[in-house]
Amino acid sequence: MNRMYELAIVAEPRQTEDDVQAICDRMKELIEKSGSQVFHVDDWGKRKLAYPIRKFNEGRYTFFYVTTEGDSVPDWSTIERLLQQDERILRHLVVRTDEDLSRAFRKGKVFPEVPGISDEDLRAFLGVPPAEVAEEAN
Amino acid sequence: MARRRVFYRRRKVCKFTAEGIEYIDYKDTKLLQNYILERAKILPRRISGTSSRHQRMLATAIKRARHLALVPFTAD
Repeated sequence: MNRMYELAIVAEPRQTEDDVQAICDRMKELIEKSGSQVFHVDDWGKRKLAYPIRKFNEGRYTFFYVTTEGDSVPDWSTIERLLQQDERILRHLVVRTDEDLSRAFRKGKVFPEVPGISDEDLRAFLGVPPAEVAEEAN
Repeated sequence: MARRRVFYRRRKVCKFTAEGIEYIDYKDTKLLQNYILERAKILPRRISGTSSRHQRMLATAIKRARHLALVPFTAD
């Protein structure tokens, strides 16, 4: 089954762009080891935290968008353990999004957008009918 | 005949049902901010009129955003 995930990482603000880049590359490598694909990385850069974490007031936000086909699911338990242990990472979050996205395409009127993938490709990946077909049905 | 006092209460509608929004993204802090009270609490649906299904989706999104420090847990 096709799945889609999002991985969010909040790194310490003291890290330089290069350090964050290195962490991101490592993450990408770990995720793709299973045969999954990181099709987009969204870098928000430095952003103010809503509350201080470990006395830091800012964090570096990075979001990874991942697709998996068939049984090639990334080894999230290992990845999350590494992130947990990494002191440069303040927070991380893994969310599986394909089920919620498909439901929104089937039932909703406002269709969600995922960065790094066109509406057409997203629908094809999720297995929901293309936009034109859905409109004809009405 | 006793005069009856008439209260007009506007019928509350769920914004998400009305607009057909079925996916609430935890990264969309602009949207989430509208459902967070001054004390950083989640706006109860008795006030916003959000349907129970959408309120659950909203609550999940806000809690995810809180974990990543995109929105606050409390007002300082």
